[in-house]
Amino acid sequence: MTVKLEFAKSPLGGAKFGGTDKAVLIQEVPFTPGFDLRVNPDSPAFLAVVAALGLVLPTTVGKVARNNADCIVSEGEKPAENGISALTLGPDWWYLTGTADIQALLAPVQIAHHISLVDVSSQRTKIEIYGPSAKDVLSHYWEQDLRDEHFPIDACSQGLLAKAPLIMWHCCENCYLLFPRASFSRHLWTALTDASVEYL
Amino acid sequence: MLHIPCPYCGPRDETEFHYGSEAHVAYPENSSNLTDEEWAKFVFIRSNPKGWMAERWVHSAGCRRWFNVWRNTINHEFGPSYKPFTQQPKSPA
Amino acid sequence: MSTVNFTFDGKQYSGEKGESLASALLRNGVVYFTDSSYKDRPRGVMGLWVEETNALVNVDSGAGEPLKPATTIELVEGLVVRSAQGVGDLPDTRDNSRYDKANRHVDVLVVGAGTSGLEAAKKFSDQGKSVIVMDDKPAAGGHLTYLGQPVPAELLAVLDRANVTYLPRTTVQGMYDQGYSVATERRTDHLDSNVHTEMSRIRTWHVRADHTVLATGAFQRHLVFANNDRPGIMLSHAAATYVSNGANPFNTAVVVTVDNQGYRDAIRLHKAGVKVAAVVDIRKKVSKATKKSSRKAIEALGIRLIKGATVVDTSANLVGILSSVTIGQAKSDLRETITADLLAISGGWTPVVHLATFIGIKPTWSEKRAAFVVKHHSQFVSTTGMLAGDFGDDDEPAVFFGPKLTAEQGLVAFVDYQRDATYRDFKRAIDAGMRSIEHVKRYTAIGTAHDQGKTSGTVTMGLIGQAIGKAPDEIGSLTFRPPYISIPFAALAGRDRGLLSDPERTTPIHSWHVASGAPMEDVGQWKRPWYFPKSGETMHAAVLRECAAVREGVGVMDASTLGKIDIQGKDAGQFLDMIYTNMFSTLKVGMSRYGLMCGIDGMVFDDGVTTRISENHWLMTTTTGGAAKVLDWLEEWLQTEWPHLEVYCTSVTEQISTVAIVGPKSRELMKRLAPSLDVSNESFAFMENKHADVAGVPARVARISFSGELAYEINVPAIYGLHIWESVMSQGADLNITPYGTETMHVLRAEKGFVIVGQETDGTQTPDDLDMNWIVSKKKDDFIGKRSFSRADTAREGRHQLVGILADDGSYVIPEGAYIVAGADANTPPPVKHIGYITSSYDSAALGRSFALALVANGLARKGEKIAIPMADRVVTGVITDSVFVDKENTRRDG
Ligand SMILES: [Zn+2]
Repeated sequence: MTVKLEFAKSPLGGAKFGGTDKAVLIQEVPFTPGFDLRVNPDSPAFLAVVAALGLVLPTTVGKVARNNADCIVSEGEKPAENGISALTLGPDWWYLTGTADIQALLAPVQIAHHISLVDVSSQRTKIEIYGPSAKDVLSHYWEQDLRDEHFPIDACSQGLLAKAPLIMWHCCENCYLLFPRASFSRHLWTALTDASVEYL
Repeated sequence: MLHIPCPYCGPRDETEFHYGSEAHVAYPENSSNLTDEEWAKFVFIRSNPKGWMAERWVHSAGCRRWFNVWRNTINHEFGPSYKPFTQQPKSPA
Repeated sequence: MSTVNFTFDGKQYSGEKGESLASALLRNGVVYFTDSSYKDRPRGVMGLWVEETNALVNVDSGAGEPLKPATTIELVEGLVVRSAQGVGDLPDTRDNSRYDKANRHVDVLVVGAGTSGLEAAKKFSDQGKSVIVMDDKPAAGGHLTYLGQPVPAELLAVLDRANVTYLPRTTVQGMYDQGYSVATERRTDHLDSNVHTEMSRIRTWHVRADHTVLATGAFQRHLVFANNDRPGIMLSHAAATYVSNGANPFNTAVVVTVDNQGYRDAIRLHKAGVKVAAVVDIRKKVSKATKKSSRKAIEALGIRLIKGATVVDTSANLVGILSSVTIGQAKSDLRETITADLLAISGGWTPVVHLATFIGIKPTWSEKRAAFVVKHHSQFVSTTGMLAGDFGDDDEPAVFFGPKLTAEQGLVAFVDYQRDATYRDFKRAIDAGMRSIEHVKRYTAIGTAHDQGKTSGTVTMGLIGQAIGKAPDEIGSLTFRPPYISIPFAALAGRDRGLLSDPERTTPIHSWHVASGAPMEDVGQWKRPWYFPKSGETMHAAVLRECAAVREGVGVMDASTLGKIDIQGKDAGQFLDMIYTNMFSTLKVGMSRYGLMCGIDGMVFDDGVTTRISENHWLMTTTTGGAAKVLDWLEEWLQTEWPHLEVYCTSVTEQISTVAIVGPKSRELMKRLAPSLDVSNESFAFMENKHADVAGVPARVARISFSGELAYEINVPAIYGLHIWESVMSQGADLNITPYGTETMHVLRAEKGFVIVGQETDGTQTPDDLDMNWIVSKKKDDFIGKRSFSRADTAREGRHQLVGILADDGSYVIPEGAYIVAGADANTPPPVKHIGYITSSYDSAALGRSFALALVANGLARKGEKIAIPMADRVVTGVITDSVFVDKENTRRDG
C-alpha cells in the first residue's frame, strides 16, 4: 500500500539525533513497510511462500535472510528495488520488510494455502542506530548478549529495550535496526537519546 | 534476574516470559461428562511439589511460543526445556 | 601528585590528590576523627578500605552522600565533608548527577585485581576468553598494596590486553544464580569538577558471566580488649600503609599481634620513622621458620619482643587520644604499661566471603589460617587467593580474639565499633543462652551497622567459641546479603527515573490531546486523555458537558488503545466459538459481534468486539489493558491444546488507529467525512462494517457503540490517525464536535449498564453475575468456562450480581468501593453485614442526578429494596435498581 504522505505522520516525525560523523547516529526511518508472516515451515505453504518471494526464509529463530540493504547509513549500499528482508521471529513467524510489493507477491499463496500475512507497517516504526558507540548505547537497556560472536551481522532478536518490546536486527557493522511498537516509540526515543549524550 | 531457556531462542531474561502454571494438565475431552470433583481437579488442583516440576512458560516478548521446562521450586534452578507434544526429558532430580 | 584543598568539619586542609581522606587527615595530624554514635567515645581511623568501622563522614560537596568511610573517599579539590558520628544525613540539595545501568555478557568475570585475581585473568585471557576484571579500589594490586609491595609488571600488563576489560572503582554488590552479578562503578567522584557533565556518576553493571572468579582478598581484624577503640588504635597493615606513604602523625608504636603480619608491619613502621616500642605476640612458641624470619628480623632492628602476651587495656590523654598501652601476660597477672600514641593490631585475616555466601556457598573454618575460607570450584564460580585460604607467606596465626576481661573491662571492650557493642553486651547474650551467631547478632546488634559485620562477624564467632569452648565453625556460618557496601538508591534506579521509570504508551493522536490541555489518565502504560476542559472549567463541569454533547449532538473519542488481534485461518470461527461464551462461527462477513471471554473457572476474563473481515479473516478487539494477556491466552490454546486448528493470531493493536464519532449528529458528520459512503440505517446497519475512503484515506468504518448512541468507529492505519482526528474536528466544527475522554466514556457506558472488565469485575464474576446470561450460548457443546457454570459455587444462590444503585439524594455521588448494607435503617446495631459494594459511580447529565453500578448479593432479585451506605460522616440511603439507566429499549443507537 502506498503511503499518502500528505495525510501520514510517523510516530517520531523522522527524528534524528547525533550524526554519521559522531559516535552515534539515531534516526527514525518513517513509513517502512512491514508484514507479519505466519506459515508452518514444514508445509507446502512454506515452499509456496519461498517460491513467491524468491527468498529462502531461514527456519532458525534469530536469523535474517535478505536480498537488499535496509539501512541508510551503510556505505555504497542502496535499497535494491524489489528487495525483501525476512527476519525470523519464531518457528513459524517472520517479519518481512523491504521495497518489494510483498502483499502482491503473496496474494496468490494466501488464496491457496493456510498462511497469515498481516500489514504491520503502522504497528512498528523503524529506528536506525549507527556508529562506533551504537552497541554501547544499546547495552544500557538491552539485556541480551550483543557480542558479535553471539549476535552477528544478520542476526535478529525480539526483546525489551528500556522495557519496550521491539525487534532488533544487527544489519551491518556498527549498525542496528530497531522495530519498536509505535506506541512505545516516544519512550524509546527518550531512552536512546538519554543514553547517547555521554558518547557525543 | 533469572535466565529461562526458551527451546527456540535460548536463555533469555525472565522479564521476557510469562508463567503458565504446571505443564501436562490437558483440557478434558468431554468436560460436560465430568463430575464436579473431576472438573475441580482440572481447574484448581496442581501438584505444587517441593523440588523439580515441569512448568509451562510463554516467551511473550520473544518468539511468542509456549513451551515446557523443568524448574526446581527450591532454588529456581532450570533444567531442560522442551516443546509441547514432544518427548518430556527426564527430571534432572 | 598535586596538592588539593578540602574541608573537614568546617576546617580547611590540603592533601595529595587521589589519596584517601583518611590518609590526608592523618597527614594533617588529625587522629581524632569523630565520636561514636551511641557512647560518644572518641574515635580515629581503624582500617584502609570498606572495612572501616569508625571514620564515617557525610559528604556535602558534589552529589553528596551520607555515611561514607573516609578510607574510601579519594581526595579532590573542593571536597567538603563532615564527621558523621554514625548518623548519616544528606545535604538539602537536589542531586543532579546522572546514574545509569549497563548490561554486559562476558566469558569470565574476575572479582578483585590483587595478585590472584590478575593471575586468574591472565589464565583465562591466555585461553582466548573475554575477561572483565572488576576491582573496587582505584588501582590494582590488592593485598600487595597492604604489604607495601609493588605489583609485578607482567601481571599488571594483563589488564591492557585486548580481551581483558579492567574496571577499577567497581564494586561487585551482589552475586546471584547463573553467573549473574551486579556491580556499581564510581565514575566521577574522583575527577575534577570540570569533567564531562553528561558522564554518569555511578554506573550499575549487570554482568552475565559464564564463569566468575572470586578473588576478593581479606580484611585484617582487630582484637577485643579494654579501651580498644581510642584514636591511635589501628589495624597494623593500615597503620603501616599510611605511615609508609608519609601520612604519619605518630611517634611511638606498640604492635600487638597473633600472626607474622604484625612483624611485617612493625618493620614497615620502624622504617617509616616510627619508634616501635614493642611487638606483643600472643604466641609463646612459634615454628622455626617464624623464629628465623619474623622474630629475627625485628630483633635485628632492635625492636623488643614480648612473647605470650597481649594488650589488655589502654589509656588516653586529656583529649581522648591513645597515650599508653597495658600489656598482660597470658598465663600470669603480670602487667606492664608502655607509652605509645599508636597501637597497631594484627588480629589475623578475615577473607571477604560475602559474594560467595550470597549464592549460598558456606565458608569453612581453617584452624591453620584462623579464618573462614571458601574453597569452591563449580561451573559458574571458583575462588582463589586469600578467599580460598592461600595467604601467601606463612602467617602462622594463633586462634585468638582477645584476652579474658573483667566485667568492668568488658564495658569498654568493643566488638562492633559502629554499634558501640561491647564484650559486656556480647557476654549478656551468651549468659542468656544464645549460642548461634544469628541469635547473638540480633540480641546485641553486632554486625547490623553500616559495615554489616565485615570485621566484627568473625571476631564475634571467635569470641563465642572462646566463651563456650568451641571452634568458630561450631557456632554457625557467616551469611551476608547484598549489597556488599551501601549504595545510593539513585545508583540502583539507574536511568529508570522520571519519564524512563516506566514506558508511556501513546496513540498517534497523543500530541493533539496534549496540545488541547487534556489531563491524562494512566490506563496501564497507556496515556489516555481523561477529559477536555475548556478554559477555567472543572472536571465535573467538563464531563457533564461532554456527556450532554454526545447524547444530544456529536462527540469524538480516541479509541486507538483498544487491543486488536488479527486472526486468520479456516478454523478461526470454530476457535472463537471455544474462546467466547457466545457464538461467532455463524457471524456474517462484514459484521461485528460483542463477545465475552471466561477463564476455565467460568469467571469473566476479557471482552470486546470481534469482526469478521472475510470468510477466514477476523479482527478481535480486547480491553486496553488486556491485549497482551489475551494474545498469550489465545496462543496457549492454539499451541498447547489445539495445534490441529488452522489459525494464526497477530497483534495489530498499534497498526490500527480508531476514532469514534458518537451521538445523534454523527451520521451527518460521517456523511461529510466519507461522501461515498451510504450511511443510512438501511444500507449501513448496527454492527456492520464498511470499507470507504474517509477524509482521503482508506478506512474501515464500523457501527459499534459503547454509549448506546448512534456511533461510527473509523479505523485507519495508525499513520493516518491524527489526520482522521483533525478531519473530524474541522468537518464537525459547525456541529459543535466535542472531544471527550475516558471519564465521559465511563459515564456514558455506565448509564447503559455496560460493564468494564476490571472495574465491574475482579476475576470472581460469571456472565450470570453480570446479568449477561444473554451472551452465554446454550447451543454450543463446549466453550472455555462452560463446565464451571454448573459448579456448586458458581450456580449457588446469593452470589454478588450487577445492579444499579440510586441514592435518595441525587446530588450525592457515592464513592466507588463503598460498602452497601441491607435496609434503609442506618441505626442497625453493629455488626452490620454488608451485602455488596459500589463498582462505578458518577453524576449523569442525561439523568440529571447521580447513579451507580454495584455488585450486590442476590442483587437481581432485590431490585426495589432499600439499602444504606455508611460513610465516615453520614449514612447514605438509596435503592437497588436495574443496571440500565438510559434507553433501556436500545432506540438511540440507530439515530
Ligand atoms: Zn523464544
